[in-house]
Amino acid sequence: MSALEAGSAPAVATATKVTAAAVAAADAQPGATFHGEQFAVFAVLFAVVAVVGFWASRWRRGGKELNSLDEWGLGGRRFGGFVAWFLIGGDVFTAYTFVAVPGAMYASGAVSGWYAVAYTTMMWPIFFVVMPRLWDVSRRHGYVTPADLVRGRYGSQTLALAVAVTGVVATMPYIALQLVGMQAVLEVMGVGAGATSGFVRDLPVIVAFGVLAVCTYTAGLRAPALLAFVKDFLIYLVVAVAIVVLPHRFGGFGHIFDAAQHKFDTANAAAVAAGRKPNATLIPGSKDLLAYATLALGSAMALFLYPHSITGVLSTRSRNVVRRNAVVLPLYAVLLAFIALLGYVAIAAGVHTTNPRLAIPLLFDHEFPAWFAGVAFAAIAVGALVPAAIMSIAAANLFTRTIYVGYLRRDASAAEQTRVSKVASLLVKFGALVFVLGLDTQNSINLQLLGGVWMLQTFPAVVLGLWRPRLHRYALLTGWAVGMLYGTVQAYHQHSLVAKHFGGALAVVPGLGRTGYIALTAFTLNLAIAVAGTLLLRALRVPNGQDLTVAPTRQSPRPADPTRGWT
Amino acid sequence: MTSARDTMATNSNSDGRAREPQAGVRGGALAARIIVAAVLGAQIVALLLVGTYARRDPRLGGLPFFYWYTLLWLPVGAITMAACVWLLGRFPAHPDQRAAQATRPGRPGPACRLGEHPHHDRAVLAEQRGRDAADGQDR
Repeated sequence: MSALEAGSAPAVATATKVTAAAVAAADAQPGATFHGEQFAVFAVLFAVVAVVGFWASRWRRGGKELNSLDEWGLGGRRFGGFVAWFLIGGDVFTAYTFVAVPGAMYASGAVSGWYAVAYTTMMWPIFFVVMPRLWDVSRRHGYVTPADLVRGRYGSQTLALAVAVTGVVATMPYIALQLVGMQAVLEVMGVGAGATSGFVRDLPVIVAFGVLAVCTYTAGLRAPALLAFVKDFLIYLVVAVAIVVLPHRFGGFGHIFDAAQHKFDTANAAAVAAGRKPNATLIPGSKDLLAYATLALGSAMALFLYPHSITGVLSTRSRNVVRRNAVVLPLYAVLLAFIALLGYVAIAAGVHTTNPRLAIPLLFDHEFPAWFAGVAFAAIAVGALVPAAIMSIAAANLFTRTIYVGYLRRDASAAEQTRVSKVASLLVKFGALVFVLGLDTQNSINLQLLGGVWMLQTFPAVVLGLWRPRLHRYALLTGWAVGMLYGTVQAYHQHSLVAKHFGGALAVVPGLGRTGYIALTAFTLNLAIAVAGTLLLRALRVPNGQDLTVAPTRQSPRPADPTRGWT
Repeated sequence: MTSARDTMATNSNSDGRAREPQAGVRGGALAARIIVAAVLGAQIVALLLVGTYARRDPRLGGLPFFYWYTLLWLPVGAITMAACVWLLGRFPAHPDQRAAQATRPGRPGPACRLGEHPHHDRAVLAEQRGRDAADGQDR
């Protein structure tokens, strides 16, 4: 869940103050004492998860060794509807989402929080149309990553490289943010509160990630697929209990929304008094409409372009599994909506924190008995591991297929590719760990914000590449480059209270005079260049690359059939 | 949606899956796809028109209109997509496509160097064929 966090980043950033200060604040509030009972439940559940993860390499092996990328990186492309539902839901709705969305609701309301529900609703129709087609083409030609698809469709190694690099660079901070979600939970439990050295403090995160790295190395995509069951069982349980019990305890939703309105009115009045722009909204006003709509649409379009979403889809066994999954996946959006509303519940419950990421963990800590809070925290922590594993596999596959095979070792065997991918997945995770523990959290949030902007720039090459007419590879490459540059520069110039640069996902849209999601503005520019450039290059008769996906076959002599993509 | 489907049903075989690619079936498949595109597109546009629902009242169970209206689109969307799955299954663009997928050997191209994809493997193909049949049944 990408640009969503990007969108909520400003809110997170705003209230975080400086991250160091946030850590201090967290210490002052919840982390002062170590919560033994919570941590015991948490640790037991985590141990169960580790055992399940190690067992995963034996699961659904089907007698095959894990020495091809199809087996290791796509679970043998054999997952049915049930597993796929958990897997896709598990990687799209991440731990950071479960911490950041209600956090954003808690801090500033609808425009940075609730839009996530709107965009996860909008996403499934797009998914329904695009993904079966993507599955079909990828299966027929043995593609493992979106970059494979782009290389096959446009015959362009460079364009494939652009897509692959975008994917890897956008995924890395995303993995890092999963760790941030886990850290929030550990902070509230008071783990390492009395520790003097940073290493002891971060030890639980390091252990958790170590376990995950070993599971993924040996079992590949099977590990997160199996862990997704555990994760979702815990999360659905916790959210169901929370949404039944808590609103009632605070006088029902009517009262909760009144409390949120009151908090936002106070915050906005204070902001205006301090000469700043008010940024809390319970219901978007006329000035926020464009921002809300573009954030929702842009995020919906970017989310399934992320390599890990595509990995989940390609691991299914048939196109119909993909399509039927689009029908039942909105259940996760219902879950997200409930979690988002918990942000307002936290306001009504009187949770006070300057770090919105801690709002939900603190709510659970205050309102649940210790053992159940432990279950809830385990749910969030496991929820961090599943997407992190899928993301690292997806990023590793992109690296192997496009950069290693494409540029370094053209004749790499299947077994060698798998070996490289396994090692790359370890390096990706290790890099994320170093990034989170060694650098300011704000860096991850900044990069995450940019990730959503960048990812959307691969839309023309990947998604429009699935249908006709085929755009020109040079036009696509130019559009991508311009979109990336424009988006990055725009994001760089946004400043907020705490961040001098990358302060938000919104910027004034040229010509409209209102703020909109940067990613969508850049995408519009990108698409315009791709289309105009294609027309120009065709008029100049510049040869386009060879399309390897349309070789005629006996059964379908007319591969250019426009209706084909819909089946 | 109903009237269009009835028109198409007359053009296809009794079970809606013609064995021969006929002009009528192609037309039905195309119409089904246009309907699906329109219905799914309408869903996205409805949510994009934020101005139409950014209101406080009427409230439902304490939730302002803005919030419960957004939530309402989740079940509506799921039901619509279920209908679309059914519609596309009834009017496949290529009735022979499943058979084609099961019998056509993988085409080894430059991007397909692995040579270990399950669909290259005869045993897996047979298995796949069995699963596809099962897919058809459980719908």
